[in-house]
Formats: sequence, C-alpha cells, structure tokens
Amino acid sequence: MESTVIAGVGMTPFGKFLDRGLTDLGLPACLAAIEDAGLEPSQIQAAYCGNVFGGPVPGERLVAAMGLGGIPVTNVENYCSSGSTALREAAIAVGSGLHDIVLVIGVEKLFGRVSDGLLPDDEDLEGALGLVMAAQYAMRFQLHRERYGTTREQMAMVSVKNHRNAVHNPNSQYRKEFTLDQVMGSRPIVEPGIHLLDCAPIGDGAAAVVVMSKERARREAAARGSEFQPVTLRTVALSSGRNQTELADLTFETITADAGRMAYEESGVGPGDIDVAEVHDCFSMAEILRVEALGLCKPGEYGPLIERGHWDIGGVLPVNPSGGLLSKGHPLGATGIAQVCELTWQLRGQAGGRQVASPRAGLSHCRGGTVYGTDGASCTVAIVTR
Amino acid sequence: MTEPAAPAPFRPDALEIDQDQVHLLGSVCAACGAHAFPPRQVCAVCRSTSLRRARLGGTGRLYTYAIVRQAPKEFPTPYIIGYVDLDEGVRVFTRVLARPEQDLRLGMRVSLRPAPLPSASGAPTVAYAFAPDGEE
Repeated sequence: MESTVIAGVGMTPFGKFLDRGLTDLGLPACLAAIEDAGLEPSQIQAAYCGNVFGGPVPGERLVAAMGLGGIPVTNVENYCSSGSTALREAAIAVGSGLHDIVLVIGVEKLFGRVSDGLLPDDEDLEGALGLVMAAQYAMRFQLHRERYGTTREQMAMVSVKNHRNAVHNPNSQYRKEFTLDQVMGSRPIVEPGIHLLDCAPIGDGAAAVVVMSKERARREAAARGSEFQPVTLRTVALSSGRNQTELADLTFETITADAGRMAYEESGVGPGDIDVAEVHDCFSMAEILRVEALGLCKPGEYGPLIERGHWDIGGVLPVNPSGGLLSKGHPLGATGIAQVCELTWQLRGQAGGRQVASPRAGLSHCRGGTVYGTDGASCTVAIVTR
Repeated sequence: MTEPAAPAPFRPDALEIDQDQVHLLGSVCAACGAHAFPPRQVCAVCRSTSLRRARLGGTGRLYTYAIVRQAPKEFPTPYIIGYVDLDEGVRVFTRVLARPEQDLRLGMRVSLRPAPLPSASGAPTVAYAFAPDGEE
C-alpha cells in the first residue's frame, strides 16, 4: 500500500456531549479532515464509518449531512477496532484503484448509553457470568507479576505517563497530571491493581481521515501549488482471536502479536523502525501487554523500561504521546481514527507540546471485543511513514 | 396452585443440575479427542464435526482470578471470577467462591459447585463456581 496516503485528518475534542447527536458530533471532524486535505466535500468518492453503539447507518447520516448522499457508504463494527477496521477497508479500496479519495470516520457516543463498565454479549459465557473488561486485565496482571515481577507501581506509571502527555493535547478528555500515589490510591474497580485511574474513561467524540492514492494527492497538491509531503499509510493489518486449543499463556496477547506480525510483513517496516506508537491502553495493564506483544520490547521488559523513561515523549520509543485512551478518552468507534490523526500530526511535526523528536515511522494498535475461547475478537495494527 | 419453579441452569447447554450437584457439559471430538467447554459443534483443533456431548470432571487448578468491585447493576458486587484449568486440559471461565480477603493462590486446587446467579427475570437461576478444596 505504499501508494496510499493519509491526506487529511481532523477530530473533535473527546469528552461528554449529552446535548449532541452522533451526526452533530461527527460532522465537524469530517469537515476538518476534508479541509486539512485541501479538498472540498464534493470530491469525496466513498465513505467508511466505524461505530459500535450508535445504531444503524451512522455513516449514511453523516454523508447526507454533508450533502454527499449517493456515494457508497460502508458501516463497520468491530468493537474497539471499528474505526481502524473502517480505515483498512478504505485503504483496500484506494489501494485497489477503485477510489482515489475516500473519507474514514470514527464516531461514538457512550455517555447516557454505558455505565459501570462494559461486558461481553449475554450470549457469551463470560458475559453471562460477569466478566467486566477490567477484570481481564487484573487477571493478566496477576500472571504477569508472578512470571516477570511486574509491579503495581510500574502498572500505575502507565497512567501517570499518559495523563502527563495529555496535558499538551487540546483534544484530550482529561488534561490533568496525576501522581503515582493518586493513581494507586484511586477507587478499586477490580483487584488486584485495576483502580479508577487505571481505566480509560467512557466518552463521546469523533475523528476522521481522508485517504487518497499518492498519485491523486500529488496532483491535487500541485494544482493548489502546495508542497507535497505525504504521510504514507503503509498498511492496516487485521487479526481475529485464535481459538485457544491449548492452555494459553495469558501474559502474552497472541491476537496483538498476530496483527503486529502481519503489519510488519505487509509494510516492510519492523518493530525496530518504529519511532512513535499509539497503543490501545484501555487499561494501564493493556499497554504493557500490547507493547510487549508488538515486539517493541521483550516480554517482561516493559516494567523496568518505564522506570527509565523509555516510553516517555522524550524517551527511546514514545508510546501514547496523545495521552492514549487512558487520558485522551475512548469513544470506541473513534479511537482507531484518532490514533492515526495523532500519528499524522506527529509525523508532520504538528503535535505542539507533545511533539516527538523527528519521527519517521508510527504504529497504531487497537484491540476490541471478546469471544469466549479466543484471545479477543478483533485487532488492528496500522503503520504510517513519512 | 403451581409448584415453585425449580431452579434452572443459566445455560442448559453447558450445565446440568443433578440433585444438589452440578456438572459442566462439554464436548469430546471423536476424531482427535480434544475436550471443549462449552460444547462445540466444530472441533477447534481439527475442525471435525463428529463431536459428542460429555460431562466434564469438576476438578482443576486456579489459573488466575480477579475480585470485581464495580460492575453493571445486574451483578451485585463484590464477586470473584477466574479461569480454572480442568484436569482434562480445558480452561473454564468461572465464578470463584471464596471470601474476597481470603488468600487465593494461583495454581491452587479447586472444585466445582453450584452457585446462584442473579437473573434479569428474577427466576431462580443456577450457575457454577469453583472453590478451593477443603472450603465449604
């Protein structure tokens, strides 16, 4: 997909917007991305929309709101990977030559719909018995602590880091620093170790990107007389959770390792080439599991490395400079698109106070949903380069 | 007069009630012998469709667990959930019956017992749980 680019990005601040509907919330993000690409809405040839809880046809409602009714619209639901899976469909359509300018939207309203934590579907045995998502990570923390010596403090440092980064992000739901003691002293949600500040908040928000063929983007830039410095979308890999036919080691997230391996193979960009990463930190422990499964360090090394500032904005490999899901927020369908907005701003040098030093390659990762007897439902890894 | 409804298993396909005992229902693959819980129609190991239903044994080891302090309102807190590795080599998601402050240990021997489960309709529903051996 070296001929596919992220031509424009836009997002709303994430937060609580009880007075706005899904379309009201999504429209500003769409228009911002189209404007950022230097295009007019009328140039969009197709749209892809990631959403989980918004009911039928959110994409068509947004397209109609832009006056673009008539173009092909595809709605995508893959739980937390919905937006990034929509991005994959867009990248395939552009890569195949079917379209050369498409819009990808991620939008979600959770306030008023979801409270006290998310559960798998009732049909799922784990959902019926009360497996709140937070418990997945408390159970994995116990195993990781026993196997590698990962500490409660190291896990809390993930939340401290991501909240610190978010102070510099105007789109973040929370822009407040917390100390280690504040994270560890916050209200227990699931024990051991998953307290309120170890959990991503629920939130509302939207993000959008314009995906173009490189050739079309070059021509459009030339026509405008603007410089052509594209952010290339190298790949969006997608995996589903394998059936666990053996007693799996839950300190290692196979679904993430699978998507990562596919993304590295498809793009020719390896884990050692990545300069900045946005990783699905729905819980503090989740960032640890995923950074390790993506091969960005060896299993068991995340904890000691965070103590040395390795994952900080000024560190060796900054992870979640946007503030991540933990602080920036997690409106499910919007999350994967907001991650790609952040990587694009980072690669263009437009990330302000949270700018990583001259990144050339960025990785974003989403993991969504649970299916009993597997290692999760959906997982995406996108790689962008400059 | 109608009899009070007998407690029903929360998943009749996966749980059998026999007097005051419960049994987990799984499947065994006729082609490769793999056990599964809950029962499958297609073997996840060899993809055979020749599977038969089977009761699974009720003993194993606690692989990991967590104490839930906040959950959607249909699940009164606190409660403990976990994964148990049955002696047949099948991992089962389960409620764990133990006092939250009790020192559960990863790898400890546990065994199956019935456990009431809140149900949306208010009808008595029986699920299953595992508890440390020697605890009642």
